[in-house]
Amino acid sequence: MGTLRPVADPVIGIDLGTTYSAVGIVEAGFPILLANEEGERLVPSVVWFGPGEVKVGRAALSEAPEGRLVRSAKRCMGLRVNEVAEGDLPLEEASGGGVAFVTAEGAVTPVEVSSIILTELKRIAEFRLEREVHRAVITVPAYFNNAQREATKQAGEAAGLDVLRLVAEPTAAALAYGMNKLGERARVAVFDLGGGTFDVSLLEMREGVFEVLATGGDTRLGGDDIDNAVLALVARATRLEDLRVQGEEGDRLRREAVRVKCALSEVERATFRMSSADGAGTLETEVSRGALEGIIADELGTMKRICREVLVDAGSDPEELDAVVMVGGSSRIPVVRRLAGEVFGREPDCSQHPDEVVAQGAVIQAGILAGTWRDLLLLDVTPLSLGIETLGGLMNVLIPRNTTIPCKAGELFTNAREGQESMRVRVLQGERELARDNWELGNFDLSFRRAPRGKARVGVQFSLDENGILEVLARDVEGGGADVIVKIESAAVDVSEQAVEQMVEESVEHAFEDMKARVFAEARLKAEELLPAVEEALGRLEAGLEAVEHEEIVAARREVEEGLAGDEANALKEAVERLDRATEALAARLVEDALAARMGVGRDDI
Amino acid sequence: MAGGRDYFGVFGLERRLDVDAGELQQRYDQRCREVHPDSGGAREEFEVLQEAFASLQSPARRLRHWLELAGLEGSGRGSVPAPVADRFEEISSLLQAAETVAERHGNAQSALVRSMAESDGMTLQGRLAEAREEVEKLSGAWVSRFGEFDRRGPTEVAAEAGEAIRALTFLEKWADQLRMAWARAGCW
Repeated sequence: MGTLRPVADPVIGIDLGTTYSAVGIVEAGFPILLANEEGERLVPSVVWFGPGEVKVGRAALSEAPEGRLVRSAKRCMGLRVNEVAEGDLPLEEASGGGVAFVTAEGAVTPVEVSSIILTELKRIAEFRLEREVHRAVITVPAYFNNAQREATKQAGEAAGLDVLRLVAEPTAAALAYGMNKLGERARVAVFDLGGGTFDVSLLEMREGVFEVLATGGDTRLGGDDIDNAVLALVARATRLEDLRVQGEEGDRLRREAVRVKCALSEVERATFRMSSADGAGTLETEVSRGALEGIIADELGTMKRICREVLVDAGSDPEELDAVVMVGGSSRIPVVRRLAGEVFGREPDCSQHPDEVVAQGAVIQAGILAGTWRDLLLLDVTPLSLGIETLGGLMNVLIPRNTTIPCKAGELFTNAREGQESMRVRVLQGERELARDNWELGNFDLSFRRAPRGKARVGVQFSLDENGILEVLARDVEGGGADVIVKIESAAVDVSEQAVEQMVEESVEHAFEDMKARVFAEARLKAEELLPAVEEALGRLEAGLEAVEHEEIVAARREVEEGLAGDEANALKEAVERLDRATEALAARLVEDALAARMGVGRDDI
Repeated sequence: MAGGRDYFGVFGLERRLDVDAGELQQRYDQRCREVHPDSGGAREEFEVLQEAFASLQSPARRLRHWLELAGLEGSGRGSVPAPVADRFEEISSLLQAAETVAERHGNAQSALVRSMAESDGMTLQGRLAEAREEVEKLSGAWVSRFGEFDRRGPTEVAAEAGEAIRALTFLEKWADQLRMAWARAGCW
């Protein structure tokens, strides 16, 4: 594994997770996670703010929450107040447009909470190593944008750490996975479903070089959402319109939801049971695995879509993969494993410890930076396209997503009018055509010297560093002189803009005040899609349809046509559902036939 | 633009067109280990390495760079040779068909429509694979002349090389688009 050199100033590796965090170091050539005094390697990512004191991890959980417990702060890192939904604690706007949790001890930002967790991890490392620690590698979801990455770095610095590198979580996992397979060349997908974030990365591993080919994800999709789904099922079953998720009762509800969620990974049915705070009543209902899988259909659909996009971005067919590695606590859920297996066309590899593998990878990266392994290298990519807004409100991409970092791109700006002194440039991250549909990283003002139109020239260089964080340099091309670092102003949240958005949403709601009208409209859209499709499908496959099947399809189709002519919302909806069901077998056969044709075999051979 | 830099030199290679892909990949990996900021390298050097690799990996860009180093220009103007121009219609419409099917699949609201799009996609995948093979064969024919270009030298082959660059530029773009379309059709 390369010669080992004693390291003067150790570098620790940290997995700063949404629900759990861990810290480790390389010891005798192996990544080791460090345990606290209680022997625990995983520290819950929760902080309790008491009068005059702060507690972290399990100690925090043993305190009464009462508006003092902050969990899943990672979900709010780098986000603006209009980008977050309230969770356990009320939120308010922090200075600079970010969010803050309103605790009983006052407002506290996600960066502050994370820095407290990082301070505790640093303390554990120093306790175990019996020496001071100053340098660290910290993980981030691959799909974190610029602000989220900067916030993570700031949290590290506030904890007294020199953050040498932010490493993407799936990349770290791949590193840990591939460490003892270095001789083999392989293409691997990493499916990482954590407490609050989802990432999928496709990597190629060749003799110590770990190259990310493509990555995708959703920074607001994770185990926490599945906890909420359990609560939604309970609310539905017990007819409680809104389960209070804030306050102490909310905290106990959440813990029970987590327990049930985990139980359902082992058994088919589990009982959600919680007695009220005053002991007067008990909330009790059975939750089935099937029901949970049903209610998270949207989340599953999102994961599937993202996996497929990553395959396309990498130009890779599932068959070209050697493994799909499952990472993150929520990757234990049976339906999630089935989904990964389906999309990637193979049995998922569950050989890695889902809660520890990312931390192990962070430790290995720390080791690489500390010089322990000279022949290992991580080549990561930027997950989001970077660009600027141009005339007409379009996004002009300067650095496309999945470009290997560090990287840079340049753009030349000139004055549109004689004597124009400055120009505002809006910097964006995202994949949409229109500037306003992308996420605004920030903006800056470019200054021009006085010059006739088109004569002033300023060259701007957009540079993404090894952490995927943006730096902008500007240079006056005509006047010569040095590069000037451009400070990006964070996009201010325009409150009136927020109000306008809300208004638009409300007016859409009012337009459908009549629920029935909305149900009818949705059913009609689906009917209009289905009817011609049924015609076409019957044309393709009429022979070989059983008489009974054919009759049912015809009957259901007639019902839909009648429903369209009428105005009964529910009648149309049910008719469409009937037609949908009636054509299920037909749909499956079409795909089978196509598959058979592709493989050059008869249908019955499949 | 190379800005006067010799991209072959970045990899310790002679200025020869006939470069083995595996060899180039290995040298790239090795240089990465040496100049990546993680190993203490400078960011600019790493970025130049990336440019150099992208340039040499693409036969069209490699050929153009080779001419530039000799002070010649690979002409962007001029006709595209027949075997490539003839394929234009067919490949464009195939890519368009793939796009349409992908859209139908994405917008589908019912299982029936989705499965019809899937079945169309599977048929297309076969045609896409065939087109990819065809494009690879055509590219291969041009690339197999690189040894000859090396022997005769840039000045003598400038005109033919210009034609090759135009042909290969199209073929590489198609190869990329066909690969993406094929991947998309394969993962439904």
